This record gives sequence, C-alpha cells and structure tokens, in this order.
Amino acid sequence: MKKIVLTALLLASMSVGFSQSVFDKYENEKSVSAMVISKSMFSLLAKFEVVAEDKETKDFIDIAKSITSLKVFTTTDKQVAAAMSSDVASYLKSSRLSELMRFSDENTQIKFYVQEGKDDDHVKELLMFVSGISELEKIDINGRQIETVLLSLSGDIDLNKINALITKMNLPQELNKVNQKQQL
Amino acid sequence: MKKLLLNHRSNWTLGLVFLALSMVACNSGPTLQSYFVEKSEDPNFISLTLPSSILNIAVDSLQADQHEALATLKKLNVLIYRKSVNEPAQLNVESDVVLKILSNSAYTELMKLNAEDYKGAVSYLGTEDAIKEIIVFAKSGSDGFALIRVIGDGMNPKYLKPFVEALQTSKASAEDFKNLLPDLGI
Repeated sequence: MKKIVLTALLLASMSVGFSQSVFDKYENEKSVSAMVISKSMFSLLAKFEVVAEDKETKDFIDIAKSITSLKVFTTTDKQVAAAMSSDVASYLKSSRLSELMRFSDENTQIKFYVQEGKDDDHVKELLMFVSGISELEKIDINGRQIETVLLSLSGDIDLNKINALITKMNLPQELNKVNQKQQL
Repeated sequence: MKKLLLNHRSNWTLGLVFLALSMVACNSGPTLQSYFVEKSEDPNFISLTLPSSILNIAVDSLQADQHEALATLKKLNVLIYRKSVNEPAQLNVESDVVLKILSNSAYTELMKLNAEDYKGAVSYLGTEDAIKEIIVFAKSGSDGFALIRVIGDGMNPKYLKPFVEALQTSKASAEDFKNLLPDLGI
C-alpha cells in the first residue's frame, strides 16, 4: 500500500515535470523577448471574429481553434543565442521532430522542424529557428536588431493556413517560408 | 503481533501522506481579492476602483447587442505599486506574490510577455463564454507594476466587437481621467 502511494506521488510529480518545456527558462530571461500564447487565448481569438466573410478570417478562425500553444523567443544576446541553439539541438534529439527544410541566405539561416500530423498538410508541432538576421539586414523591431528567433507552435496545424496566422498576429514573416516547399 | 505492528505503521504513514496532501490543498494562500483588500491599505500601493459609468456612454442610443455587451462590464479595479528608492528589492518580492496568486489553476492563463525590463501577463477567471474577470499584470523593473482587474458578469468574446463600438460612443474625455490623477499623487 505504501509503495502504491509512493509510486503514485512520484508519478504525479514526474508528470508535472514533463509538461515543462526546455525552452521555458527563456520566458524570464532578461535579454530575451518572449511571447507565450496559450490554447485558451487562441480559443478566445477564434470567437472574437463573429462573422467571417473573407478567406483570411476564416483561415484564422480554423487555425486558431487548432493551436494548443505558441511561443516566440527573440534575442540579440550572442551567448543566449548560442544556448538557444544548443537547446534546440538537444530538444531535436529527444523529441519526434524531423527537419522539414532549411534556407540559407548568406548570413541568415532559417530551419524548420516538424512532427508530422494526420496528413501532408498538417503538423502536430512546428519549430522555426532563425539565426543571424542582424548581420545581413538591419531588421528593426522597437529599435532593436534581432539576432535569433525561436518559434514553437503546437496543435493540429494546417500549414496552408499559416499565412492567416502570421498576418493576424504579426508574427515573423520568415514563418511564411514553411509553405515554399509545397509550392515548388 | 509483528504483522499487526507493521500494518499499524503503514496506516500511520498513509495518514501522514493524506494529512500532508490535505494541507497542500487547503493552504491555497491569498486570493487576488484578499490581496487587493490588503494592499488598498498599504501606503506603498495606489488602489482605485473605476465603475463602468466613468465611460459616460449614452446607453439609450446603443443598439441591442452593444447594450448587452456593455452591461457585462461592471467595474475596473486597479492596483499600482511604485518602486521604492529605499527598498528596490521589494518590487520583485511584491510582484512574485501576485504572480504566485495568478499561477493558481483557477486563473486561465492567456498570454505572457517578457521584453528586457518589462513583463506582462493576461489571465481570466470564469469560463470562455462567461468570463467573470480579466486580469492584466504589467511590470517594469525600473518603475513598478500595475495589476488591473476588469470585473464583469458573463463577459463573452462575441461581445468584443459591439463593446468596442459602444466605447466609440463614449463621451468620456481625457480630462475626466486627468481629474482622477491628482488624488493618486501621479
């Protein structure tokens, strides 16, 4: 009996531990700009649009309903960027993500990783890692150059509807490249 | 006898575990409401309540859905902590208390933002189609933090559009709000 209780307690504490993501520590890091949006927020956002007449709004409502979490971390700090890069590498080893594609453009590298979903158009998880933007072109957001962007999206995501999400939520445009492969 | 003793012991352990668990369950700490009440008497805090009537909207001229949307908003509770020059470390102590209350599972977390010295969080209390309260937390490491509770009754995301439309008919001017400020020492 004692063993059962102990095991149950241990399991309970472990499941709490597992729900944490390796990237959570960047939420409170001073040199990182972080935005974390929960499933509940997306669920509310989908309901804000009462009448959907245009395709973009319809797409947005569909994709918003299917997202369980969105996290965007950006940093200009080289050390933090290096730590993020190694965290991405170790996360890729432990998770079921595979590389979808990569774009290299002189100093900018964009990599997409996905966990496959129910069909070719859907993914369960999408990870985008962009590094070295500021060396190539001076992208200015609130007066700061962005060095590294880590974006993580989970849910049952239709890649064809990503564009509506980017436009409505002002997400990094690099994310749009995820559809380039399909158009080729 | 040995077996009996063993049984007795394991019951004792079980009892302790349950006691510990029930203590964790009961000791949920202060609620946002009790925190507001407590801090409204604290000289380091500025607290104010704004009734929805401050928006000065001519209710009679509103359309039915706008009227309905506006009726779900009751009042705004605002609590401001200004960073003390003498006790700069107190800012984090106070804001940690608030964040701990908000981490309670009763509050549904909507979003978190963090940028340099700024931190923000939005949560709500209630259900998606009947929100009782929206809580906005904003902190600046150099100035302090503000906690805003938008208290309503059955606030619903479908009311957002008519609500914004109703707000546009507001006759409240910046002067109305400025008149409040001298009382706050801002």
